[in-house]
Amino acid sequence: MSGGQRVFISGVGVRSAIGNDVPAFWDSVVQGRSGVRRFDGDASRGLAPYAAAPAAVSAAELPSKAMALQTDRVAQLGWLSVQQAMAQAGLATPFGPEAASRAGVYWGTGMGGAGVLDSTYREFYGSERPRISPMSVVASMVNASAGQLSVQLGARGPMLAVSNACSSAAQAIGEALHALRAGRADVIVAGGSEAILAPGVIRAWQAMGVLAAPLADHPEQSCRPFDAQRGGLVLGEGAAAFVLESESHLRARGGTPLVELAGYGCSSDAVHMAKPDVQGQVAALRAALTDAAITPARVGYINAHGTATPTGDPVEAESVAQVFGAGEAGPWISSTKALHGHTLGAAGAVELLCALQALRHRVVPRSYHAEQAIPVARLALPGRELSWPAGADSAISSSFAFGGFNAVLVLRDAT
Amino acid sequence: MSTLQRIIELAQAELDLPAELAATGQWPTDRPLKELGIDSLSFMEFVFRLEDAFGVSIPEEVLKPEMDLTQFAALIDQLKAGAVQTGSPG
Repeated sequence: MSGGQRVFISGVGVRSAIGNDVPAFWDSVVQGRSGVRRFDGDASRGLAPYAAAPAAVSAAELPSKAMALQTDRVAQLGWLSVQQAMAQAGLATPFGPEAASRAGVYWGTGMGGAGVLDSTYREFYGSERPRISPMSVVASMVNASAGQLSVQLGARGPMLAVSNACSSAAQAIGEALHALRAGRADVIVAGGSEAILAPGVIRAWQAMGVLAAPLADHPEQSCRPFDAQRGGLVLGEGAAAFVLESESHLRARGGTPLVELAGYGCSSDAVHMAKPDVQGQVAALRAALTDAAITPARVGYINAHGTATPTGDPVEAESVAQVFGAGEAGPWISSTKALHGHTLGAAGAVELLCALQALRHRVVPRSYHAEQAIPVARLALPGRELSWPAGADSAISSSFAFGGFNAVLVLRDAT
Repeated sequence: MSTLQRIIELAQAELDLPAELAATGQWPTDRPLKELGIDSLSFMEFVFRLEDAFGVSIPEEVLKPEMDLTQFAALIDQLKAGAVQTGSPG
């Protein structure tokens, strides 16, 4: 295990297609309520009908009208999740003058303010007299959310914006863990947000050929991780935030830990831009367990990356089998993307929340929409009798990104 | 509804009143937006909203950061009447 202080999570928040706060989100996960819907697309522009899981945000929820005018949805969703996390942690927003210099923001996003960029380009190329908003740059840049959160929180310590595709938020949280252990801050608000449901962006994803077509009869079931008939991923919007605190800070202020953020492991495949790799994933899983100083038997649940792409799911099943064994003795596994969609740069945060809730409640989130599951050890399918593995005190969330970057986070009971 | 009344409504919907005026809930019509804490980014976004609301195109060269809502109303009335001369040099 790395040296330095233990780090705890004292507050969480979420915005997603399946809930605008943690209780609603978790209820959807447990009940198997999907936020995926069908959209018609735009035949005149070659945008085929698609399935997506949009989140909700309204200007009235934001702290100022300036924020509504000057920011992309990605920062707005981020702030709305951070607000919840700060409230649960019992920390003042903004940070007071003394706390501010020891408070940081580490935030992940894959495409930043994609909606603003999409509308700016549409205006520039498509309008007779293009009006380009002066906030286009500061709303669309990849660090726009991190910057906005820092401003809103009055956090004057370290700030890091991570953009490593689908591992962005997991990496942001993992790097925050190491920064807190190293004493670079007392509190770091970490997580990620993504809002890419803009027409031009969706068309680009369609061109890549990795999106599931909306199912005719049941569009809400279009995302089918680990199913033999899985057709690809479903894009989702969302954000999740975690208040991470060093043990000394948490104890000194009398805060209540939810769980310990016990480990972070990462690796690069160095093989291909879009094809996942068993060796790389195994390396990240093992590094995370080593960092948390635990054996595989201590893990009760893995929230898999499980995108439902034809290529990705079997590779991940093999990686998990190599680390945890292929039998029925290991941790339960599921992909909750079936419900909240693939929130890309936010996925590592949204799914860490599922692992956190699973660990705290000893309730295993099921893997929905896999009617004919491919071979995966201990896949938590609907209908199976699920009980928390004896002796397990930890849970894992895995994130594997285009570009070949893998990030794995380990949570442990707060003791 | 007069142009000025509609502009006040838009300001109330889109812009943050400074703290010292928040209790009044009223947008002053005779104080420059800059003085009321509206930064250049929100200023331009507000101009876009005015253009959309009144169906006019406000030339950048006639915009000044010290404009107040009354001056915006006069400008928009002039634009609608075709009474504003604009053009680029050369």
